[in-house]
Amino acid sequence: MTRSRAWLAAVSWAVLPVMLSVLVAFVALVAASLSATSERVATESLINVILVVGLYIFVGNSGIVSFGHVSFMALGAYGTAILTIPVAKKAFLLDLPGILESASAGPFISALLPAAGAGIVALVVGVPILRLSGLSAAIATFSLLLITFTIVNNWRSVTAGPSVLVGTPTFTTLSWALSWAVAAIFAAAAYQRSRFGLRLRCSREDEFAAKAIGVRVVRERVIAFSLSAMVVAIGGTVLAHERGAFDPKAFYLQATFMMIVMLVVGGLHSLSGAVLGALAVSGISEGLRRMEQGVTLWGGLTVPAIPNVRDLGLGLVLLVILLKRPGGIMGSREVSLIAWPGRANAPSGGSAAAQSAEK
Amino acid sequence: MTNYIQNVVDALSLGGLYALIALGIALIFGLMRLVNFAHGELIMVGGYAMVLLSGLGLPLMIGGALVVAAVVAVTMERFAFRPIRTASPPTLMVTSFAVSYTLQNLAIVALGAHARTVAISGPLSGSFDVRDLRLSRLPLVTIAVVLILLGVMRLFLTKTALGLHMRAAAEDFEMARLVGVSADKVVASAFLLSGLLAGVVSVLLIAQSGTVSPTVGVTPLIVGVVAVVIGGIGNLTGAVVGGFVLGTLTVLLQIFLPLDLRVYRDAIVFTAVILILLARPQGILPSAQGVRA
Repeated sequence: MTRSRAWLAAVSWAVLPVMLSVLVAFVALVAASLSATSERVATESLINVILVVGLYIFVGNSGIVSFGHVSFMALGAYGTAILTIPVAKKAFLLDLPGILESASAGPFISALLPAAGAGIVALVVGVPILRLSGLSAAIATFSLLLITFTIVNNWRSVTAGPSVLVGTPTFTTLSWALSWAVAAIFAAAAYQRSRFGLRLRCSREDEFAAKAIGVRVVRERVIAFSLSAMVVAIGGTVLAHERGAFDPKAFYLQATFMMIVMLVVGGLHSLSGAVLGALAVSGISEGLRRMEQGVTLWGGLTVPAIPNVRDLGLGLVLLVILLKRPGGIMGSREVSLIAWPGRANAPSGGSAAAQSAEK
Repeated sequence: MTNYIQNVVDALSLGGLYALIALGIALIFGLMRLVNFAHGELIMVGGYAMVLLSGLGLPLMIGGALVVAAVVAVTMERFAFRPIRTASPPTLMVTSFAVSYTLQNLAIVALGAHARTVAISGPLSGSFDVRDLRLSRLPLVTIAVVLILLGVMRLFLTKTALGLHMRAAAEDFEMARLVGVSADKVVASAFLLSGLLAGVVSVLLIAQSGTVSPTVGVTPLIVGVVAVVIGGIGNLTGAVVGGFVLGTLTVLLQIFLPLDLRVYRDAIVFTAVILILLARPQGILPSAQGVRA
């Protein structure tokens, strides 16, 4: 191989994340400039991208639907809150042991430390749980969600229990969220092209065949679960610093549903799908939310205000997508510009050899 | 002594209720490998039927709950699940999740998010005295209803043609169709039965709590799905056993947990669920496949 060819082959994995990052940045900047309030919407969309990409790292590559990832989001959010709420306020709101009570961390530490914690929890919890497959695994992850919610909702001294925990500094800006979104996308792309990701995808396609060729399925699942938990936890920290105040209900069934909708609409087995799904559903969600307040269409037609129509609309959107295009927008394909001659583009689910350029 | 009997009655009654929910879910799962997350909403719909019919007398309320739940179940099957019958298990799971979410929000939009009260009087409520024991009626009625329904289900599945078709289809769908079993009829019947069971559960549940809200079906659903999984996937008897195990565990924890830990009861129950799954991933009463009466 020529030197330039070799170099190209080595960095080819980066094409996808670069393209996705450009897309995300473009959409975010355009959306943020639309109106005064839309910067907040754009930031939340970027947070959704982080969360869904994190979920994808596990669900997309392993084929196991995890209902429990929101637990890691909660870990991230409450973790960073404990680390960054001003010390005086903390003493008043919570009842933490000495070392945590006086802790005060900057933006980076307060994102990475909870993420590391989430990764460790995922390791500990994942090793037993991920031996299960299919429905049992999904139920186990659901149990994880319930256990976490019950603990967070009742541990008043650490999480303020069911009350809203206020005081988290709100330093999340569009660029902060965008940086982490780009980092998440790169992490996911690197993982799925790595041998870990490829081995996990083998087990997704045929668990027994994968075991037969020597893939240690549980180990690969646990690795993906941990990485995925860390990314989702970072999403939780960014969210905490955007909202400033939150309660345990923000990390329960509705959040779980939203994350799953975004991933399924985009395409369960595709990183591009995760990104596009997050952006698309965030957009639809915002559009429906505006409709909730009543809208005057051109021609003078007034659509009356219907509260809660947003969630109903999202449910219907998901149903329609599932019935018409169960694979989601992207199916198993990735977004790509160039067809490398004689080389399959980004690995995908069923269809193997001849992949061609998608625009 | 009195406490002991009361506790046993409570455990059996809660276990029985959970068993009914689990049975409704297991019926569909055995047939289609679909976990119907919308089963909770069937219970909710039954509850709202009673709200809307309240004041018209108990028999009509109960009948209304059963009919409405069954109709919604069959409609759900026809429009949401039939088109994707051959899709992969994750897709089926997420679709039922979507149906559940949509129904909940439809209820919120149409009927409001607040809880509604339903007053159920008559043979279901109140208590009576036996010697020096005060027993409340509802748990006993629940136990009786559960036992009768389980018996009826068993008879249906073993003695009737449709029941036989269902068991055949659950064991091997393709083969059953090849020998003349109508897939549409069997699946629709399973959903109908599932809806009826959900209707019964809604009556018993609301007789106990007195309120209905759009999210009233969420907890029963979680309980039902967990009961099916720990009892043995694809196995109706297993689902019933799982329901009783879960109900008994919950009541035992409620009694024996020290007061300050009691709020963590659910967390402990679900930790126990994970442990059971780890010890026996196939469930307490595993089956190779299919509906076993």
